[in-house]
Amino acid sequence: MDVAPSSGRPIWLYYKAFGLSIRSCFALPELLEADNLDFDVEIQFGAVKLTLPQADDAGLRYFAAPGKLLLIVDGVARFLVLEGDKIVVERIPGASQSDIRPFLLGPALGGLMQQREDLLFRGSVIEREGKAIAFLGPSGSGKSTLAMAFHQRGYRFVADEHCVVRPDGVGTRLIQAGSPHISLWPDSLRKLSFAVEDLPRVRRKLQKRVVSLKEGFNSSPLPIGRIYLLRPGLTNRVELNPLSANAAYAALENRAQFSLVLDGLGLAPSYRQMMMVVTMHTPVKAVHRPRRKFNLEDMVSVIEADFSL
Amino acid sequence: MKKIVWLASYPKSGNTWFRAFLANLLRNSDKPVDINELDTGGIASARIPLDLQLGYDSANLTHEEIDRLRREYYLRRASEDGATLFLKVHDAHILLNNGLPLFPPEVSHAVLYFVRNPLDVCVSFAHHSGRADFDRTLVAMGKPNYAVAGNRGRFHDQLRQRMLSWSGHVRSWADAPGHRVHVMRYEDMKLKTEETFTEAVRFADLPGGTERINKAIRFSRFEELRGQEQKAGFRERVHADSQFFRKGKIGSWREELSVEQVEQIVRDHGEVMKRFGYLSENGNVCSAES
Repeated sequence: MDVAPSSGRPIWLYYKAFGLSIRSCFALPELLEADNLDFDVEIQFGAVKLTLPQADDAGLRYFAAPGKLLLIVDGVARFLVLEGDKIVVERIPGASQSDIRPFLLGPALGGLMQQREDLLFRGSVIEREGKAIAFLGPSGSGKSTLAMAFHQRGYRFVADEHCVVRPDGVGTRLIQAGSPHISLWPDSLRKLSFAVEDLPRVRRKLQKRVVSLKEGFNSSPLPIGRIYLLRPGLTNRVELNPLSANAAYAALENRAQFSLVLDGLGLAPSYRQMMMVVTMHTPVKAVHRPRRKFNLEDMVSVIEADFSL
Repeated sequence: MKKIVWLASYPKSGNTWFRAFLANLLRNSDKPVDINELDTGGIASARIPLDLQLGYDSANLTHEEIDRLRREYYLRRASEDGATLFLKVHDAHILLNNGLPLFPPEVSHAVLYFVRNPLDVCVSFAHHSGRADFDRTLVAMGKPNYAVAGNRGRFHDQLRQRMLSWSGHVRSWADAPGHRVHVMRYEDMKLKTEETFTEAVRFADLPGGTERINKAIRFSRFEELRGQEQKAGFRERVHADSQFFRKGKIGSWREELSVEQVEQIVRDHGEVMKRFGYLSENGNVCSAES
């Protein structure tokens, strides 16, 4: 048994994110609160073992098997993600809830959505004329900064960190709305004219901050409009290059860059099929950004001009 | 199992040149290896390989949390099947808070440590940083706690690298306990190329006889690397408007540093400069040939 029974009656809190209703004994102030008591996902405290003996794939701090994912964050928590509908969290003594949340709402929730066979990318998403515009890329590629810059130009914000694609009842592939929060580093916040010190930290020990969007959040799933893949360039210019369906597929399959798939979850065939459909029917462009002297306004203008092409 | 060869140096000391040589030596092709495909194991401070091993992004971890994981990461990489793993390193050979070395000697096959006259390092590092600000660079080289990618207010593509001062860096690796260390002077790589590269090949048990070594030297000569960079760029370059392979000269400091700047570097690093033949016993800067 991977989960030990927890003592006492939990007090449940209800949220929604990425098209899922979530019941949690863990306060998640980043997520939108839900009114109804139905739920797709349960988050609870419990004992989580240090290993997953039946794992097909394991790394330094993860173990994955079909329907099971164990993530270990030293000094913070262990997360056991089960069958796409449950996350068990064992807090390490001394860790605060704010220490735990970035890992719970990041890789643990991401792993859960993979178990549900959602198509999942590293990305931030905005809305334009009823369609989702996704910015995908590895950590530090500027996805969240770009989404926030577009939000400041009046575009509605859809999601940060996870870009989740899920078919609706009639097979249309929709990008799911996340929560009205963006995590940004102080240097990006300053470029976006935020007073950094006024914002709460993502974790006590990190300078990264959470920005709550009071308005301009799209909470409904949206059909996919365009995908931009953010990549470092070798020049001082922002360059946009359209990718063929094959090239887009090959790029998106790169786990280090765009995809969050863990091999051991055993989802490869359905994942590949959905990715093929998405890349065949969605315009995908590579955005090469300057490595330094990164002028955010210029980049936003170049991409915005591309929207109407 | 001991299988990692660490290619360690302070920046701008010949490390990338040696990696180009190594890529050519290992591939043993009939044409030079593309400098953007130096598949020699990457840099030890690369973030993405660690993230893939963790199963989540290290961006939400502190530098200290990451350092503790890095040691374990190298042990794990060394336990994988396969040939020798080469890792470029710009970190100093530091100890973690628990007293264990960041770079575990138990999985180390050899360390090739590249050292260069700090006067030339200052010039080259300043240009590399895009500012050509020698005063700022020599101050950084003298700081005992100098680190790159250490700013906590922004994301870095690479993990934080604690480099110590230039002298601290050289001593940390040259005297690293438990490692087999071979120190190569940049100046010897330039002036006694075949002899110096052959010694390194033998020390690290790399493949290759004289002919293969000489071909790899030819395919990685400075003009070849600079030519490739001018034609197609170099992804390891920090600034788009500065060249990574700029001059590769010995003694550029004589034209670019002021007397005061030279004196400051000698004050900061004289002892280690003497140890590696960059300063005579009576305090004069040695010519490259010494």
